[in-house]
Amino acid sequence: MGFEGFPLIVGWELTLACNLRCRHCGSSAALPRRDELNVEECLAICEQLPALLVQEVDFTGGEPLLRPDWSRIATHLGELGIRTKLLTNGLTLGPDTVAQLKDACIAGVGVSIDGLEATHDHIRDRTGLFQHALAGIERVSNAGLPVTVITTVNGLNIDELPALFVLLRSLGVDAWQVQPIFPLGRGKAASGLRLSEQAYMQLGAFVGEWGPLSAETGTELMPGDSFGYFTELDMREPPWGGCSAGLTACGITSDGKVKGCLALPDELVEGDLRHKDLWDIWFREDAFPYTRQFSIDRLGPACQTCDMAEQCKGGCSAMSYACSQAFHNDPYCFYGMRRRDAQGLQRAWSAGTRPRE
Amino acid sequence: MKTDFVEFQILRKPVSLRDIIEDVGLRWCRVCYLIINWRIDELRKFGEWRIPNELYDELAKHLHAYLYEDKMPPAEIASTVLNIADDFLRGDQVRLKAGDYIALENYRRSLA
Repeated sequence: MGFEGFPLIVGWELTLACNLRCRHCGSSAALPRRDELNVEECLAICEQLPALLVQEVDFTGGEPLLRPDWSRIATHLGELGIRTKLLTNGLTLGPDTVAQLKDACIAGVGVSIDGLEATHDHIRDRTGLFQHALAGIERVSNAGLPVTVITTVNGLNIDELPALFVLLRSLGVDAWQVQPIFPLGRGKAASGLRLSEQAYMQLGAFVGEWGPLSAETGTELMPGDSFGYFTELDMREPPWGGCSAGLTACGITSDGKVKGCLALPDELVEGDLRHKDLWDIWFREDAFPYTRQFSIDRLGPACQTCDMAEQCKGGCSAMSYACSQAFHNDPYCFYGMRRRDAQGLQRAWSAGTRPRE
Repeated sequence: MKTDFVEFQILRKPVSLRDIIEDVGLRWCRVCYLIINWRIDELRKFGEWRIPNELYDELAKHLHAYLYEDKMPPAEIASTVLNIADDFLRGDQVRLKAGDYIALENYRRSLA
């Protein structure tokens, strides 16, 4: 019997072009890819999604709003009954763009805010961008669109989370997603950004303490990928059952390649939409082996002695691969860190080093 | 009503052969949904899936041919169509598992 799941959520990198050069950017976004999809190709891909039961498409980049035709693609997805959200750096959220977001029936806008003003602007190496992003958030919010702020939590902003939460609540932000930084792209090389185990536990404690209060305040605090697993710090999350890349989610790059998740490197491409339909790529017998063909003997050293490994399957695939170039070996795990500490084992990972092989 | 499988949900059960004939002859199912049980907690927020019209029409065509004209469906989708026919004739809720949905769609695509 073949695989019988569907890509219910699709991340779509509309372009790799970006008008910023953030230090933490896992995609190293700057220039567009060499041969990005044109709008006709994008619209044709949209047509393939309903048969695969796709429920939601999330536009990312690069900066997706730099694509002049983003609203045509979003509108067409809406016509097909697919909810579309968009993640932006907030630099181009002027009144006209916000009106376009409304017209294109964008279901939610995510805006990156990566610390308080000085830190946010330092990460972007340009002053004034924090205020610019806040103004954009206000415009989107005033237009009645749900706003999620997404913060890449790193070594520079981990201590600013409580103050940032207060600020975001005052802005009326609907949700705040805190995403541990992936050591990828520019984020891999930038000094001071990677989270130590101690800082990662600090993030867990923050979410554990503030999360339960967040719903009452109107700004829901929710962790992103690679946050967990199996401790009181993440107990508000649905029970972790393993990475969903290639099982219920996938990513499309701006040149039409398909990956299990956009945070995975381009070497893990499963197929090219210029040559094959998404249906054929998704249901290819040997596609997405890292999640579809998981077995205990594939666990890496960080996870192989863990008693939760069968359920967890080694955590977030992208984080695992970013840290160790191997799957099922995610070192960012509250349970694993405590387990290793309790057993007096060497830490699997600390700032500046890779997991033990 | 939600069940364990990707399924069609039939809203009106046939009560007699005449009803069956009328139902199949016209439109054998009023509304179809797809429901999936894989990590259902995570997916429940998405609600129910309306199956694509093209697939619905393809399935209805073969079901009609099997029930009225004694024509066996193509081999690729025979088990799916026969299972649905059994459910239908029993007056049960018609179910279409994820694998059957994939088989049907593969068949439809092979015709394109």
